[in-house]
Amino acid sequence: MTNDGLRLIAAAMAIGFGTIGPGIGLGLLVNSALGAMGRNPEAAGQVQINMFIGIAVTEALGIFALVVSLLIGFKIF
Amino acid sequence: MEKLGINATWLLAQVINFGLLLFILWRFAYKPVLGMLNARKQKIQESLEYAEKVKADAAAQQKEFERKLEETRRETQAAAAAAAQVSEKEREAILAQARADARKMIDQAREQIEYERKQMLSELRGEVVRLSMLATQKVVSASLDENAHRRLVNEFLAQADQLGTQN
Amino acid sequence: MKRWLPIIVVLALFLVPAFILPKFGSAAVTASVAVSPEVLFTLGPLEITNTLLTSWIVMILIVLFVYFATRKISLVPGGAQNVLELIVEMWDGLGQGVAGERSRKFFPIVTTIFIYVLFSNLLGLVPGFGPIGIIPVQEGHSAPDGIITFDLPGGLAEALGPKPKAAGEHSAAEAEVVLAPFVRAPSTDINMTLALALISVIMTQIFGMQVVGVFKYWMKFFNFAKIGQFFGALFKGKVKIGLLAFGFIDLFVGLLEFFSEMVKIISFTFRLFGNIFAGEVVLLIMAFLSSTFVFFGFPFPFYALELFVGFMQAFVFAILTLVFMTIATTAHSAEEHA
Repeated sequence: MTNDGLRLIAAAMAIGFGTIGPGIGLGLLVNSALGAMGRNPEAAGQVQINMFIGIAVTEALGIFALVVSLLIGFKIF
Repeated sequence: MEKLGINATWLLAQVINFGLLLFILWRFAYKPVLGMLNARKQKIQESLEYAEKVKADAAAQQKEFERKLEETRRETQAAAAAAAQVSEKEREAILAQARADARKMIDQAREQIEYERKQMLSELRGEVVRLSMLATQKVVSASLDENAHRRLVNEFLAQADQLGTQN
Repeated sequence: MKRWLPIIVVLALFLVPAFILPKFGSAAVTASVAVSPEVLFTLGPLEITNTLLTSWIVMILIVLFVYFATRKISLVPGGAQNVLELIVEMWDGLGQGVAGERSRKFFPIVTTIFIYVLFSNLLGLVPGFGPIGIIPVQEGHSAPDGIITFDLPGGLAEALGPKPKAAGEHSAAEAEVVLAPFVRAPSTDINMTLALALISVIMTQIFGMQVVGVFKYWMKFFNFAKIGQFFGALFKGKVKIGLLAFGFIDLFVGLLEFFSEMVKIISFTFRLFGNIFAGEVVLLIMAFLSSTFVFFGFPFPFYALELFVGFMQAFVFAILTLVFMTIATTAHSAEEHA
């Protein structure tokens, strides 16, 4: 196995495993936000805004994985 | 950084692009559009208020109309009631008049009858006296003079009258 | 006729490539996936990349759109004015809902971000943007199979386009295949997304300092208040361990907040870049599948998906900017009251 091959595998693993957690987190987050909106439609606007904040924070983890994957994949380290 | 393609010049160019776009949009899009939106909002509000006013006016007119209608109805009813009362009174008066008339006529008739009866009675009495005088004359033609005879008959009549009142 | 239309379209998608593709050799289509934008030509000291060129095209399109929308502005809207009003009203409403009175301050930046990102994302989906470009061919070599080439007139070839890379740096084959598209969506360039992220985060700090006050605003990040109180008590001869402990917790929380501002830049940058870049790559791969399986229908669902993603990313970028600006101008004073 060449160095390039190892690098590509590492990049793929970084993004692949790195998005599992944020994926679960986003699912839970949107699930409960939609539940809250369904139960209390008057507060939907506020819930939506807070949901977006939550999504931003949760998704940041996935984006870290993407960044690391890019850094590895494009031989920046 | 190099391999990700980040480059200070290009970054700066993009920042300038954005700044330029921000200025253009601010000056030529947001200001007129927001102004227009506000103007429209005001216009709609005015129209709504006007519509509300018209509606209120219409409602007031409707109420006024209903009030007048009610008043007219009441007046008509009152007039009808008054008319009915008047006619009732008239009827009563006519009836009373008629009754009085009838009574008067009955009274007159009764008086007439009474008078006639009395007349008949006196006539009868006269006839009885004449008849009895005639009879008595026949029976006792000589024994009694005219005056004594008359006296006797009158006595008899007085007794008979007395008897009649007793009965 | 209308009922048969879909079937005819699907048949055409099968048959047309079956006739066309053999002329080019279906497997020979090659493409490059490059993160960094390609330089098209140099203008003085400035190297003009295709993403920069496209961002100017985007700006021209936006200006044209705004021109047509506001040319005959009237109380009864029509055509382009409706669309512009829809966008402006949407962000005005969202701003009022989230930020209340302060939304007038944030509105221009947030809405501009939305419009710019939306146009950049959607422009990248115009067919023909990827595959038409400049390909440098070394002397004595011919262009790869499947690529139709036209020679540029002599002088123009020198001035335009990326130079063929020296053989030592990359393998010759790799250097040959790099195609520089004339136009490429600006959102697939990290410079553009990073510029927007920097503007968003820096403007957030500026608004925060404007509303909360410069010193008070930075207190959020470097909170020495409790530690100061501890030393104040120490001078009076009292040792309050609780104050010291809470002081360090505050300091740590403040540092976390400071790093979260840095994280915001990274997440803004790579969220937009990652989504749009990945979308383009997916479309490219679907195009490959189309040529391999001789069916041109593969990219269709992904075009629909990318349209949605392009809109969604523009919306998310703008609304997160709005929310972060609102938080920066309120949270601290609210904390003080608590």
